[in-house]
Amino acid sequence: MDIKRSDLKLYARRALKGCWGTIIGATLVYMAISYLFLIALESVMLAMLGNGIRTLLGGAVTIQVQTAGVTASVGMLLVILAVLYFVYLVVILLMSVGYQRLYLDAASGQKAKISTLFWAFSHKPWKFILISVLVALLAWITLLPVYVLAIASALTGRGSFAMVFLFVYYVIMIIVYAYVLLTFSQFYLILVEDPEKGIFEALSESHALMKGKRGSYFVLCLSFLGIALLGLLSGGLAMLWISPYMGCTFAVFYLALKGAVPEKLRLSPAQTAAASGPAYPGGGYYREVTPPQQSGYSPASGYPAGGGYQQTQQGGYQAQPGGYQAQQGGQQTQQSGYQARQDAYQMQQGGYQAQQGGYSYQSQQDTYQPQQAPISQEPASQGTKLEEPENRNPENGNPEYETPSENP
Amino acid sequence: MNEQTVHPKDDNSMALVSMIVGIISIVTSCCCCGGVILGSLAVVLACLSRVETYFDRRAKIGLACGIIGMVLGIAAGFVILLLIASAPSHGFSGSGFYFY
Repeated sequence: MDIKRSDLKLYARRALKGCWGTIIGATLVYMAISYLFLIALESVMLAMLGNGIRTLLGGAVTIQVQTAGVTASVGMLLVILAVLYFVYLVVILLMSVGYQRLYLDAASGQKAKISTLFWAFSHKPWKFILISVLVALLAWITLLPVYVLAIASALTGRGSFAMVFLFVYYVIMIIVYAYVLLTFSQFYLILVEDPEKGIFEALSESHALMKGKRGSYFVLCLSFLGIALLGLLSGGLAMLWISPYMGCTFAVFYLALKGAVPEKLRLSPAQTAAASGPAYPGGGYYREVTPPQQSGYSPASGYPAGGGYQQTQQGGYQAQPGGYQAQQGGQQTQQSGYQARQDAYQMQQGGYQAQQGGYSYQSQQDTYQPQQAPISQEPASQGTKLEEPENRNPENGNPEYETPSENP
Repeated sequence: MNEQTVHPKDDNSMALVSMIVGIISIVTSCCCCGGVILGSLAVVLACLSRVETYFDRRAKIGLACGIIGMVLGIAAGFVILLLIASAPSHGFSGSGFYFY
């Protein structure tokens, strides 16, 4: 990966251009669902506290809680609270995974949809839940010495050793945490991109991708401090834009590690428009519109020109080398992509047989190929009648055929 | 050759929003935190609106207005704090303004 940090951010902004509304809408949906769960949790807790205390003050032995006309024991409410909290954690976790997918979609140039927020609910949800449980367990285990030491120092009353130990331990743990987090920073994105991959496979792939790139990733994370400070100054309002920007930049970083940054992100919108040639209508760029190719006859060749799909052919057939001119007036031929072919008129006039192989023209091409069969000139008797072929289309041909006036 | 010309449509709406928010931040900089909140928002939007290698003209205006609004807002906050701190205990300042 040889992409500069500023370029990564530029690519992220380009990727987000056009889908800001979707991503901010997804954020609002995420926040609304989170707040709904929090309100439900707080309602249950308040019901437990308020009604429970009131019942205790009333001297009751069994605490009963009455909420919204339903009487329940505190034990049942505790179970409800635990279940609700677990569901809340699972929903938030899976929606966070959906967020990662949304950013990855935006960075990959795919269409970002709000429904992607719930993508993880249908793509190996238990794998993501298991990973989160394992990560939380590992974090708790690493903090176990701190808890043990805190309890021991409280029991023995010797706090100085504990303070020194905790300081050293925290410094070491920060370094270890930073190393582990940087090494496996791409773990979630790898799994989000392909949920079929195993956990250890994703871990090893992240390790391989981040080899020698940990510093770049760390500096990239630090480079968001300034804009995050601005977000705080705005009362958190600007975080609606900053958080997708950061997420998309990390997704672009992941794609850059894999060498899979879409080409359209490398080009600016103006360059993209220039590279794609004539732009689409309404796209905001100049467009040179080429009219439908003129089918039929070219004026340069002396034939009347027609435009579009409806070909008006007037003037008909040109004079044959034998000197005859067969006028075919008012012939209207409608071309719709197929090759209209007028089969041979066989004219036997004044002792000559003029055979004209018809015209072949296509509506989408400016090619006109008069297919003239070699004219066989052979003496014929005077006054021979004009014969039309049986397969001649009467709509294309002119039934009023004008007999040549003179015989050379 | 029929040539149809579609005028260029500058669809960098974020730069436009940045400019508008930046101007509002200057106007509201004397109000309670209006300058700081809207000014920082204008700066963020101006930064995020850059999809080319250069800044859009409106984004530049938004950036400048946002910075000015933030500075004015912070200055107004300091002035208000100083006035509150220097107010006499009976609630009147020397110039006759009430602070509470």
